[in-house]
Amino acid sequence: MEKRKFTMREALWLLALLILAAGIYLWSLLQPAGSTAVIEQNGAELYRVTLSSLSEPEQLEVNGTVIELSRAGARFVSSPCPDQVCVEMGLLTRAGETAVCLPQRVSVRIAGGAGADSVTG
Amino acid sequence: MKAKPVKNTLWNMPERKAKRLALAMGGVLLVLILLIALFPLLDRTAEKYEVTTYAMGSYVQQTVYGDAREAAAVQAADAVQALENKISWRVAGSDIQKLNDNAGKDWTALSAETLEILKIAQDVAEKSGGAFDVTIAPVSRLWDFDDERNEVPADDKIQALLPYVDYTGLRLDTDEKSASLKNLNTAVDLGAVGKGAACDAAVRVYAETGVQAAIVSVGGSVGTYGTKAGGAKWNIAVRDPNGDGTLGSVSIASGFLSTSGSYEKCFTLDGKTYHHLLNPETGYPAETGLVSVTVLSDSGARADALSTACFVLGMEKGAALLAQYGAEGIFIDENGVVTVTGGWKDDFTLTAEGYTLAD
Repeated sequence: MEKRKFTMREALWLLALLILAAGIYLWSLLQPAGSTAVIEQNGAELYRVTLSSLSEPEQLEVNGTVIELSRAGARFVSSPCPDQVCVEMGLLTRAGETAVCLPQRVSVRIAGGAGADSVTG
Repeated sequence: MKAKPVKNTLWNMPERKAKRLALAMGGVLLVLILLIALFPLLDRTAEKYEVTTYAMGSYVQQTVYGDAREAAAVQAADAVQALENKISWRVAGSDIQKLNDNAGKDWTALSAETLEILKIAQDVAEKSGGAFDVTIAPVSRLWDFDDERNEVPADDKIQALLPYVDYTGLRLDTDEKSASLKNLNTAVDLGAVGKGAACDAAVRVYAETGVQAAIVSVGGSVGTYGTKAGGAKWNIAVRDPNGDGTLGSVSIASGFLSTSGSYEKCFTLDGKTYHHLLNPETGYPAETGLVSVTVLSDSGARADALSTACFVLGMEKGAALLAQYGAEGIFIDENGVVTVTGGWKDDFTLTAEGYTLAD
Protein backbone atom coordinates (compact mmCIF):
# COMPACT_ATOMS: atom_id res chain seq x y z
CA MET A 1 0.00 0.00 0.00
CA GLU A 2 1.23 3.48 -0.85
CA LYS A 3 2.25 5.57 2.13
CA ARG A 4 2.47 9.35 1.86
CA LYS A 5 2.08 12.53 3.86
CA PHE A 6 -0.93 14.82 4.01
CA THR A 7 -1.13 16.89 0.87
CA MET A 8 -1.19 20.64 1.13
CA ARG A 9 -4.80 20.67 -0.08
CA GLU A 10 -6.01 18.35 2.65
CA ALA A 11 -4.16 20.27 5.32
CA LEU A 12 -5.75 23.51 4.11
CA TRP A 13 -9.20 21.96 4.23
CA LEU A 14 -8.65 20.89 7.82
CA LEU A 15 -7.24 24.29 8.70
CA ALA A 16 -10.19 26.08 7.12
CA LEU A 17 -12.67 23.98 9.10
CA LEU A 18 -10.77 24.60 12.33
CA ILE A 19 -10.63 28.35 11.74
CA LEU A 20 -14.34 28.44 10.95
CA ALA A 21 -15.15 26.46 14.09
CA ALA A 22 -12.91 28.62 16.25
CA GLY A 23 -14.48 31.73 14.73
CA ILE A 24 -18.00 30.60 15.61
CA TYR A 25 -16.87 29.68 19.09
CA LEU A 26 -15.32 33.11 19.66
CA TRP A 27 -18.48 34.77 18.32
CA SER A 28 -20.55 32.75 20.77
CA LEU A 29 -18.31 33.90 23.62
CA LEU A 30 -19.05 37.50 22.73
CA GLN A 31 -22.79 36.92 23.04
CA PRO A 32 -24.35 38.01 26.34
CA ALA A 33 -24.48 34.73 28.24
CA GLY A 34 -23.66 33.41 31.66
CA SER A 35 -24.27 35.24 34.89
CA THR A 36 -26.30 38.40 34.76
CA ALA A 37 -27.34 40.26 37.89
CA VAL A 38 -30.80 41.81 37.70
CA ILE A 39 -31.69 44.51 40.21
CA GLU A 40 -35.32 45.49 40.69
CA GLN A 41 -37.06 48.02 42.87
CA ASN A 42 -40.73 47.46 43.57
CA GLY A 43 -41.31 45.51 40.38
CA ALA A 44 -39.35 47.79 38.08
CA GLU A 45 -36.08 46.55 36.61
CA LEU A 46 -33.36 49.13 37.27
CA TYR A 47 -30.16 47.37 36.26
CA ARG A 48 -29.13 44.31 34.28
CA VAL A 49 -25.39 43.73 34.48
CA THR A 50 -23.33 40.96 32.90
CA LEU A 51 -21.05 40.04 35.77
CA SER A 52 -18.25 38.61 33.62
CA SER A 53 -17.89 42.00 31.92
CA LEU A 54 -16.88 43.68 35.19
CA SER A 55 -13.16 44.29 35.49
CA GLU A 56 -13.50 45.33 39.13
CA PRO A 57 -16.27 45.27 41.76
CA GLU A 58 -18.91 47.90 41.31
CA GLN A 59 -21.30 49.31 43.92
CA LEU A 60 -24.81 50.54 43.23
CA GLU A 61 -27.12 52.39 45.56
CA VAL A 62 -30.78 51.47 45.28
CA ASN A 63 -33.34 52.99 47.63
CA GLY A 64 -30.85 53.19 50.49
CA THR A 65 -29.39 49.73 49.98
CA VAL A 66 -25.88 49.25 48.64
CA ILE A 67 -25.38 46.36 46.23
CA GLU A 68 -21.97 45.14 45.13
CA LEU A 69 -21.52 43.45 41.79
CA SER A 70 -18.35 41.63 40.83
CA ARG A 71 -17.20 38.75 38.67
CA ALA A 72 -17.78 36.50 41.68
CA GLY A 73 -21.43 37.45 42.07
CA ALA A 74 -23.75 39.98 43.65
CA ARG A 75 -24.56 40.86 47.25
CA PHE A 76 -26.20 43.41 49.48
CA VAL A 77 -23.38 45.24 51.26
CA SER A 78 -25.65 47.31 53.48
CA SER A 79 -29.24 48.29 53.97
CA PRO A 80 -31.08 50.65 56.30
CA CYS A 81 -33.65 47.92 57.07
CA PRO A 82 -33.95 46.59 60.65
CA ASP A 83 -33.71 42.84 59.99
CA GLN A 84 -30.69 42.80 57.60
CA VAL A 85 -31.98 39.59 56.00
CA CYS A 86 -30.78 40.82 52.62
CA VAL A 87 -27.21 41.39 53.83
CA GLU A 88 -27.18 38.01 55.59
CA MET A 89 -28.09 36.28 52.32
CA GLY A 90 -24.45 36.80 51.38
CA LEU A 91 -22.96 36.45 47.92
CA LEU A 92 -25.25 35.24 45.15
CA THR A 93 -23.29 33.27 42.61
CA ARG A 94 -25.54 30.78 40.84
CA ALA A 95 -28.31 31.48 38.37
CA GLY A 96 -31.66 31.52 40.14
CA GLU A 97 -30.29 32.74 43.47
CA THR A 98 -32.10 35.75 44.84
CA ALA A 99 -31.73 38.16 47.73
CA VAL A 100 -34.63 40.38 48.64
CA CYS A 101 -34.80 43.36 50.96
CA LEU A 102 -38.48 43.44 51.86
CA PRO A 103 -38.55 46.74 53.76
CA GLN A 104 -36.75 48.59 50.95
CA ARG A 105 -38.49 46.59 48.21
CA VAL A 106 -35.22 45.89 46.42
CA SER A 107 -34.31 42.54 44.93
CA VAL A 108 -31.18 41.15 43.32
CA ARG A 109 -31.17 37.92 41.38
CA ILE A 110 -28.78 36.08 39.16
CA ALA A 111 -30.34 35.36 35.78
CA GLY A 112 -29.10 33.41 32.79
CA GLY A 113 -27.34 30.10 32.54
CA ALA A 114 -28.88 26.81 33.51
CA GLY A 115 -29.86 27.67 37.05
CA ALA A 116 -32.88 26.93 39.18
CA ASP A 117 -36.30 28.19 38.11
CA SER A 118 -37.21 29.27 41.63
CA VAL A 119 -36.27 28.99 45.29
CA THR A 120 -38.21 27.54 48.23
CA GLY A 121 -37.40 28.17 51.87
CA MET B 1 20.02 -1.45 10.86
CA LYS B 2 16.59 -2.89 10.66
CA ALA B 3 13.78 -0.66 9.39
CA LYS B 4 11.07 -0.07 11.93
CA PRO B 5 7.55 -1.14 10.96
CA VAL B 6 5.63 1.88 9.72
CA LYS B 7 2.71 2.83 11.94
CA ASN B 8 -0.45 4.59 10.90
CA THR B 9 0.38 7.94 12.45
CA LEU B 10 -1.41 11.10 11.41
CA TRP B 11 1.48 12.15 9.21
CA ASN B 12 2.12 8.78 7.79
CA MET B 13 -0.98 6.86 6.78
CA PRO B 14 -2.80 5.79 3.63
CA GLU B 15 -4.06 8.82 1.79
CA ARG B 16 -7.76 7.91 1.76
CA LYS B 17 -7.77 7.15 5.45
CA ALA B 18 -6.07 10.43 6.25
CA LYS B 19 -8.56 12.37 4.17
CA ARG B 20 -11.50 10.69 5.83
CA LEU B 21 -10.04 11.23 9.28
CA ALA B 22 -9.37 14.89 8.62
CA LEU B 23 -12.86 15.54 7.29
CA ALA B 24 -14.48 13.60 10.11
CA MET B 25 -12.48 15.42 12.78
CA GLY B 26 -13.16 18.83 11.29
CA GLY B 27 -16.81 17.99 10.71
CA VAL B 28 -17.45 16.78 14.23
CA LEU B 29 -15.72 19.83 15.67
CA LEU B 30 -17.73 22.17 13.44
CA VAL B 31 -21.08 20.59 14.32
CA LEU B 32 -20.29 20.58 18.06
CA ILE B 33 -19.28 24.20 18.12
CA LEU B 34 -22.23 25.23 15.98
CA LEU B 35 -24.53 23.54 18.48
CA ILE B 36 -22.92 25.29 21.45
CA ALA B 37 -23.02 28.63 19.70
CA LEU B 38 -26.58 28.39 18.44
CA PHE B 39 -28.11 26.83 21.55
CA PRO B 40 -29.21 30.15 23.10
CA LEU B 41 -30.93 31.06 19.84
CA LEU B 42 -32.72 27.72 19.53
CA ASP B 43 -33.75 27.83 23.17
CA ARG B 44 -37.29 29.21 23.10
CA THR B 45 -37.39 29.33 26.89
CA ALA B 46 -35.40 32.55 26.61
CA GLU B 47 -38.74 34.21 25.84
CA LYS B 48 -39.66 34.85 29.42
CA TYR B 49 -40.68 37.71 31.64
CA GLU B 50 -39.36 37.96 35.18
CA VAL B 51 -40.56 40.40 37.80
CA THR B 52 -40.45 40.81 41.58
CA THR B 53 -43.23 42.68 43.36
CA TYR B 54 -44.34 42.85 46.99
CA ALA B 55 -47.50 41.63 48.72
CA MET B 56 -48.57 39.47 51.67
CA GLY B 57 -45.73 40.94 53.71
CA SER B 58 -43.33 39.25 51.35
CA TYR B 59 -41.98 39.19 47.82
CA VAL B 60 -43.77 37.82 44.78
CA GLN B 61 -41.27 36.60 42.19
CA GLN B 62 -42.66 35.48 38.86
CA THR B 63 -41.19 33.98 35.70
CA VAL B 64 -43.74 33.73 32.91
CA TYR B 65 -43.32 32.12 29.46
CA GLY B 66 -45.36 32.47 26.31
CA ASP B 67 -47.56 35.09 24.69
CA ALA B 68 -49.01 37.84 26.87
CA ARG B 69 -46.54 36.91 29.60
CA GLU B 70 -46.07 40.45 30.87
CA ALA B 71 -49.81 41.13 31.11
CA ALA B 72 -50.32 37.80 32.88
CA ALA B 73 -47.62 38.65 35.44
CA VAL B 74 -49.21 42.01 36.19
CA GLN B 75 -52.63 40.36 36.55
CA ALA B 76 -51.21 37.64 38.82
CA ALA B 77 -49.56 40.24 41.06
CA ASP B 78 -52.91 42.04 41.30
CA ALA B 79 -54.63 38.76 42.18
CA VAL B 80 -52.19 38.18 45.04
CA GLN B 81 -52.81 41.67 46.37
CA ALA B 82 -56.58 41.14 46.08
CA LEU B 83 -56.24 37.88 48.01
CA GLU B 84 -54.32 39.60 50.79
CA ASN B 85 -57.18 42.08 51.13
CA LYS B 86 -59.54 39.13 51.68
CA ILE B 87 -57.59 36.87 53.99
CA SER B 88 -55.31 39.08 56.10
CA TRP B 89 -56.64 39.66 59.61
CA ARG B 90 -54.72 42.92 59.55
CA VAL B 91 -56.61 44.38 56.58
CA ALA B 92 -59.69 46.36 57.58
CA GLY B 93 -62.84 44.86 56.09
CA SER B 94 -61.19 41.60 55.06
CA ASP B 95 -63.15 38.35 55.27
CA ILE B 96 -60.98 37.17 58.13
CA GLN B 97 -61.21 40.41 60.08
CA LYS B 98 -65.01 40.25 59.80
CA LEU B 99 -64.98 36.61 60.84
CA ASN B 100 -62.84 37.43 63.88
CA ASP B 101 -64.99 40.42 64.78
CA ASN B 102 -68.08 38.21 64.73
CA ALA B 103 -66.46 35.55 66.92
CA GLY B 104 -68.90 34.19 69.50
CA LYS B 105 -71.69 36.25 67.95
CA ASP B 106 -72.70 35.53 64.38
CA TRP B 107 -71.95 33.81 61.08
CA THR B 108 -69.94 35.77 58.51
CA ALA B 109 -70.46 35.64 54.75
CA LEU B 110 -67.18 34.86 52.98
CA SER B 111 -65.84 35.06 49.44
CA ALA B 112 -65.54 31.72 47.66
CA GLU B 113 -61.75 32.07 47.71
CA THR B 114 -61.53 32.55 51.49
CA LEU B 115 -63.95 29.69 52.10
CA GLU B 116 -61.90 27.35 49.90
CA ILE B 117 -58.71 28.20 51.83
CA LEU B 118 -60.47 27.61 55.16
CA LYS B 119 -61.76 24.25 53.90
CA ILE B 120 -58.25 23.15 52.95
CA ALA B 121 -56.92 24.40 56.30
CA GLN B 122 -59.62 22.61 58.33
CA ASP B 123 -59.00 19.38 56.45
CA VAL B 124 -55.28 19.45 57.29
CA ALA B 125 -56.14 20.45 60.89
CA GLU B 126 -58.33 17.35 61.27
CA LYS B 127 -55.94 14.93 59.61
CA SER B 128 -52.99 16.27 61.62
CA GLY B 129 -54.88 16.10 64.91
CA GLY B 130 -54.58 19.86 65.36
CA ALA B 131 -50.83 20.11 64.71
CA PHE B 132 -51.87 22.67 62.13
CA ASP B 133 -54.49 25.09 63.43
CA VAL B 134 -55.66 28.36 61.83
CA THR B 135 -57.17 29.46 65.15
CA ILE B 136 -53.62 29.96 66.46
CA ALA B 137 -54.20 33.75 66.35
CA PRO B 138 -54.76 34.34 70.11
CA VAL B 139 -51.30 32.90 70.83
CA SER B 140 -49.48 33.93 67.62
CA ARG B 141 -50.46 37.55 68.27
CA LEU B 142 -48.86 37.30 71.70
CA TRP B 143 -45.60 36.18 70.16
CA ASP B 144 -46.02 38.53 67.19
CA PHE B 145 -42.96 37.37 65.24
CA ASP B 146 -43.74 39.88 62.47
CA ASP B 147 -43.27 42.78 64.83
CA GLU B 148 -39.71 41.76 65.73
CA ARG B 149 -40.12 42.81 69.33
CA ASN B 150 -38.13 39.67 70.14
CA GLU B 151 -39.74 39.03 73.51
CA VAL B 152 -41.04 35.83 75.03
CA PRO B 153 -44.63 36.40 76.19
CA ALA B 154 -45.44 35.74 79.85
CA ASP B 155 -46.32 32.09 80.37
CA ASP B 156 -49.56 32.87 82.24
CA LYS B 157 -50.74 34.89 79.24
CA ILE B 158 -50.00 31.98 76.90
CA GLN B 159 -51.77 29.52 79.19
CA ALA B 160 -54.77 31.84 79.50
CA LEU B 161 -55.24 32.09 75.74
CA LEU B 162 -54.28 28.53 74.76
CA PRO B 163 -57.79 27.08 75.32
CA TYR B 164 -59.09 29.38 72.58
CA VAL B 165 -56.71 27.86 70.04
CA ASP B 166 -59.13 25.21 68.81
CA TYR B 167 -59.88 24.56 65.16
CA THR B 168 -63.07 22.66 66.05
CA GLY B 169 -64.53 25.99 67.14
CA LEU B 170 -64.34 27.18 63.51
CA ARG B 171 -67.43 26.03 61.61
CA LEU B 172 -67.86 26.33 57.84
CA ASP B 173 -71.11 26.36 55.93
CA THR B 174 -70.29 25.68 52.29
CA ASP B 175 -73.90 26.03 51.13
CA GLU B 176 -74.36 29.44 52.70
CA LYS B 177 -70.71 30.38 51.99
CA SER B 178 -70.21 31.49 55.55
CA ALA B 179 -68.23 30.66 58.66
CA SER B 180 -68.40 31.26 62.37
CA LEU B 181 -66.18 31.07 65.43
CA LYS B 182 -67.87 29.56 68.45
CA ASN B 183 -65.92 31.41 71.07
CA LEU B 184 -65.52 35.14 71.53
CA ASN B 185 -61.80 34.83 72.17
CA THR B 186 -61.01 32.59 69.22
CA ALA B 187 -59.56 34.17 66.09
CA VAL B 188 -58.22 33.02 62.74
CA ASP B 189 -54.76 33.80 61.37
CA LEU B 190 -54.14 32.51 57.83
CA GLY B 191 -50.46 33.52 57.95
CA ALA B 192 -49.37 29.89 57.67
CA VAL B 193 -51.30 29.30 54.42
CA GLY B 194 -51.44 32.78 52.90
CA LYS B 195 -48.34 32.52 50.72
CA GLY B 196 -49.35 29.14 49.36
CA ALA B 197 -52.87 30.42 48.69
CA ALA B 198 -51.27 33.36 46.88
CA CYS B 199 -49.48 30.87 44.60
CA ASP B 200 -52.86 29.24 43.91
CA ALA B 201 -54.30 32.66 43.00
CA ALA B 202 -51.40 33.43 40.65
CA VAL B 203 -51.62 30.02 38.96
CA ARG B 204 -55.37 30.53 38.39
CA VAL B 205 -54.50 33.74 36.54
CA TYR B 206 -51.91 31.94 34.40
CA ALA B 207 -54.52 29.34 33.43
CA GLU B 208 -57.07 32.04 32.55
CA THR B 209 -54.67 34.14 30.50
CA GLY B 210 -53.38 31.12 28.62
CA VAL B 211 -49.65 31.66 29.01
CA GLN B 212 -47.50 28.68 28.14
CA ALA B 213 -45.85 28.19 31.52
CA ALA B 214 -45.08 30.12 34.68
CA ILE B 215 -43.49 29.77 38.08
CA VAL B 216 -44.22 32.00 41.05
CA SER B 217 -42.59 32.24 44.45
CA VAL B 218 -44.37 34.09 47.24
CA GLY B 219 -41.92 34.35 50.11
CA GLY B 220 -40.56 30.88 49.40
CA SER B 221 -43.83 29.10 48.63
CA VAL B 222 -43.69 28.08 44.97
CA GLY B 223 -46.43 27.45 42.41
CA THR B 224 -45.99 26.12 38.87
CA TYR B 225 -48.19 26.28 35.82
CA GLY B 226 -47.79 24.45 32.53
CA THR B 227 -44.58 23.08 31.03
CA LYS B 228 -41.61 24.99 29.68
CA ALA B 229 -40.74 24.69 25.99
CA GLY B 230 -38.79 21.51 25.53
CA GLY B 231 -40.70 19.84 28.36
CA ALA B 232 -37.97 20.17 30.99
CA LYS B 233 -39.10 19.81 34.60
CA TRP B 234 -39.09 22.79 36.94
CA ASN B 235 -35.87 22.93 38.91
CA ILE B 236 -36.29 24.53 42.33
CA ALA B 237 -33.47 25.33 44.70
CA VAL B 238 -34.06 24.51 48.37
CA ARG B 239 -32.54 27.06 50.73
CA ASP B 240 -29.85 25.89 53.14
CA PRO B 241 -31.46 26.18 56.61
CA ASN B 242 -28.09 26.80 58.26
CA GLY B 243 -26.35 29.05 55.79
CA ASP B 244 -26.55 31.55 52.98
CA GLY B 245 -26.80 29.35 49.97
CA THR B 246 -28.60 26.36 48.64
CA LEU B 247 -29.08 22.97 50.27
CA GLY B 248 -29.85 21.29 46.99
CA SER B 249 -32.44 21.25 44.30
CA VAL B 250 -35.59 19.37 43.54
CA SER B 251 -37.25 18.90 40.18
CA ILE B 252 -41.01 18.72 39.77
CA ALA B 253 -43.22 18.29 36.70
CA SER B 254 -46.06 20.26 38.29
CA GLY B 255 -47.53 21.22 41.64
CA PHE B 256 -46.85 23.52 44.57
CA LEU B 257 -43.97 23.63 47.04
CA SER B 258 -43.86 25.06 50.51
CA THR B 259 -41.10 25.19 53.10
CA SER B 260 -41.47 25.73 56.84
CA GLY B 261 -38.16 26.46 58.50
CA SER B 262 -37.29 27.46 62.04
CA TYR B 263 -34.66 29.83 60.60
CA GLU B 264 -37.25 32.08 58.94
CA LYS B 265 -38.79 34.27 61.61
CA CYS B 266 -36.95 33.78 64.85
CA PHE B 267 -35.00 35.50 67.59
CA THR B 268 -32.47 34.42 70.18
CA LEU B 269 -32.83 35.37 73.80
CA ASP B 270 -30.54 34.19 76.62
CA GLY B 271 -28.98 31.62 74.32
CA LYS B 272 -32.30 30.07 73.31
CA THR B 273 -33.76 30.47 69.84
CA TYR B 274 -37.49 31.03 69.46
CA HIS B 275 -39.00 30.48 66.02
CA HIS B 276 -42.42 31.24 64.55
CA LEU B 277 -43.67 27.68 64.06
CA LEU B 278 -45.81 27.39 67.16
CA ASN B 279 -47.15 24.11 68.50
CA PRO B 280 -50.91 24.72 68.96
CA GLU B 281 -50.87 22.29 71.87
CA THR B 282 -48.24 24.08 73.96
CA GLY B 283 -48.36 27.64 72.65
CA TYR B 284 -44.55 27.55 72.30
CA PRO B 285 -42.28 27.01 69.28
CA ALA B 286 -42.49 23.37 68.15
CA GLU B 287 -39.46 21.27 69.07
CA THR B 288 -39.32 18.08 67.07
CA GLY B 289 -35.66 18.04 66.08
CA LEU B 290 -36.44 19.48 62.64
CA VAL B 291 -35.07 22.70 61.20
CA SER B 292 -36.94 22.66 57.90
CA VAL B 293 -39.62 20.77 55.98
CA THR B 294 -40.36 21.20 52.27
CA VAL B 295 -43.61 19.76 50.92
CA LEU B 296 -44.93 19.14 47.39
CA SER B 297 -48.69 19.06 46.99
CA ASP B 298 -51.38 19.72 44.38
CA SER B 299 -52.44 23.03 45.96
CA GLY B 300 -50.42 25.90 47.36
CA ALA B 301 -52.58 26.38 50.44
CA ARG B 302 -52.43 22.65 51.17
CA ALA B 303 -48.65 22.52 50.70
CA ASP B 304 -48.32 25.42 53.15
CA ALA B 305 -50.61 23.82 55.73
CA LEU B 306 -48.83 20.47 55.38
CA SER B 307 -45.33 21.90 55.74
CA THR B 308 -46.36 23.63 58.98
CA ALA B 309 -48.15 20.49 60.23
CA CYS B 310 -45.10 18.33 59.40
CA PHE B 311 -42.76 20.67 61.24
CA VAL B 312 -44.95 20.49 64.35
CA LEU B 313 -45.56 16.73 64.11
CA GLY B 314 -41.94 15.75 63.52
CA MET B 315 -40.58 13.51 60.81
CA GLU B 316 -42.31 10.18 61.33
CA LYS B 317 -45.83 11.46 61.95
CA GLY B 318 -45.29 14.15 59.33
CA ALA B 319 -44.33 11.62 56.66
CA ALA B 320 -47.43 9.57 57.54
CA LEU B 321 -49.60 12.68 57.11
CA LEU B 322 -48.04 13.40 53.70
CA ALA B 323 -48.74 9.83 52.62
CA GLN B 324 -52.45 10.39 53.33
CA TYR B 325 -52.43 13.25 50.83
CA GLY B 326 -50.15 11.63 48.28
CA ALA B 327 -47.78 14.53 48.98
CA GLU B 328 -43.97 14.40 49.09
CA GLY B 329 -41.57 15.94 51.55
CA ILE B 330 -37.96 16.77 52.42
CA PHE B 331 -37.23 16.76 56.15
CA ILE B 332 -34.02 18.33 57.47
CA ASP B 333 -33.18 17.68 61.10
CA GLU B 334 -30.88 19.59 63.43
CA ASN B 335 -28.09 17.04 62.89
CA GLY B 336 -28.02 17.79 59.18
CA VAL B 337 -29.73 14.57 58.14
CA VAL B 338 -31.91 15.08 55.07
CA THR B 339 -34.77 12.61 54.62
CA VAL B 340 -36.68 12.57 51.34
CA THR B 341 -39.98 10.69 51.00
CA GLY B 342 -40.13 7.73 48.62
CA GLY B 343 -41.74 9.30 45.58
CA TRP B 344 -39.32 12.20 45.57
CA LYS B 345 -35.99 10.45 46.19
CA ASP B 346 -34.84 10.49 42.57
CA ASP B 347 -35.80 14.14 42.06
CA PHE B 348 -33.77 15.64 44.90
CA THR B 349 -30.09 16.49 44.61
CA LEU B 350 -28.11 17.43 47.71
CA THR B 351 -25.33 19.91 46.98
CA ALA B 352 -24.50 21.61 50.30
CA GLU B 353 -21.63 20.44 52.50
CA GLY B 354 -22.28 19.24 56.03
CA TYR B 355 -25.46 17.29 55.33
CA THR B 356 -26.09 13.60 54.89
CA LEU B 357 -28.85 12.02 52.89
CA ALA B 358 -30.81 9.38 54.81
CA ASP B 359 -31.67 6.12 53.02
